[in-house]
Amino acid sequence: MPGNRRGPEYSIILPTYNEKDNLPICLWLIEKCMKDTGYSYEVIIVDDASPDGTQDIAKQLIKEFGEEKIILKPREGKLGLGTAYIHGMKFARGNFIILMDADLSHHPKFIPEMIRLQKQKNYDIITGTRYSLGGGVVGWDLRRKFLLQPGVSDLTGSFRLYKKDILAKLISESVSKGYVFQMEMMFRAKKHGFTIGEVPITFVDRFFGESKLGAQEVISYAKGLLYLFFTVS
Amino acid sequence: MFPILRALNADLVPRLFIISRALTTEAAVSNHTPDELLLTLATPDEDLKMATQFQIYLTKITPILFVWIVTYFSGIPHSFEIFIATPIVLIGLLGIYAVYSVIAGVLRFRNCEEAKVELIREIDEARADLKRRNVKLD
Repeated sequence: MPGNRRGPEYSIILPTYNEKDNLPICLWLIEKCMKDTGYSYEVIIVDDASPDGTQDIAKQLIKEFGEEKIILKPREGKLGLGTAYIHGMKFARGNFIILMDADLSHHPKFIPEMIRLQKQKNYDIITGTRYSLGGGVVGWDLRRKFLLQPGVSDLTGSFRLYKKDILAKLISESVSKGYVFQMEMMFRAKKHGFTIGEVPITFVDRFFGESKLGAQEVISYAKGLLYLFFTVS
Repeated sequence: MFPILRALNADLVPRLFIISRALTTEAAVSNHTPDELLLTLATPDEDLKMATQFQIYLTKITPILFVWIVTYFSGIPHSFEIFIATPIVLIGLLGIYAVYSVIAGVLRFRNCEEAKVELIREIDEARADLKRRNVKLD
């Protein structure tokens, strides 16, 4: 379905801090992956006063890609992820919001897949999961239902597509900081009964060439799970 | 059956839980009588509608505990050792399953080697294209 003539259908919110090297690649990839899909989009860059010149390169890219496609909405300082999303949403013209990282760990090639899946069953939320379930699905269903009943296999992921009003509701209700905030949003979404679809994604940490999952993340994930288990109602 | 259980879980049981906890602690620290506290708590409150996962788990574990204890004191012949060992073994199995599922998750984590190679190629392609379009990169 072609985009709304009055504005883009999909708003990609990109919080940035010191991403002068990755931002141009990220925007180039978004353009490349969305160009032939027929989906209309915009990218809203929320930069927290990066000292490395991220905003200068952003302005150059706006000149090149167009003011309709890329919008820069800077902030005065490092103010956190949740408020960055809220700030970006104020200017978003689309009915859907896509949240992703600008450091190339999230590849824009998965965005059309997320959009396609969302259209299939009119999902409220599509989340990219790094824990793609191949075989042995029965065992995984048991595991997912076990501790928190979240219904998503990757609670800490931050590469997601939301309907705009649903994202606004979840952000206003969530109180945690950092990536536990991502988990809390998913958890509350499940509690509200929102429909959630999953798209398997690959997650590349360029500098070390391996996935970002390590012992530390497992421990933090467990701590976040326990916090949600005992406190979120 | 499940809608009824869900309704109970979501409303009545946490309400009782919160009321009983509030009465015992509040009565101890405040000057209000339990009747006054009950009145304040009887007014509908948005916060009482949902329970934490922990509270929901308590409502499920408590009847099982109850059945288990009653079995011990009933006439069914069994040994004391089995009575003590059963919950410990069950919890141990639960722990093993939890550890297994975490390890299996780590092992199933997709090998991102191909993705990394492709990304590096795309980065070079992007930089070349952007240079052509007069975007100044470092």
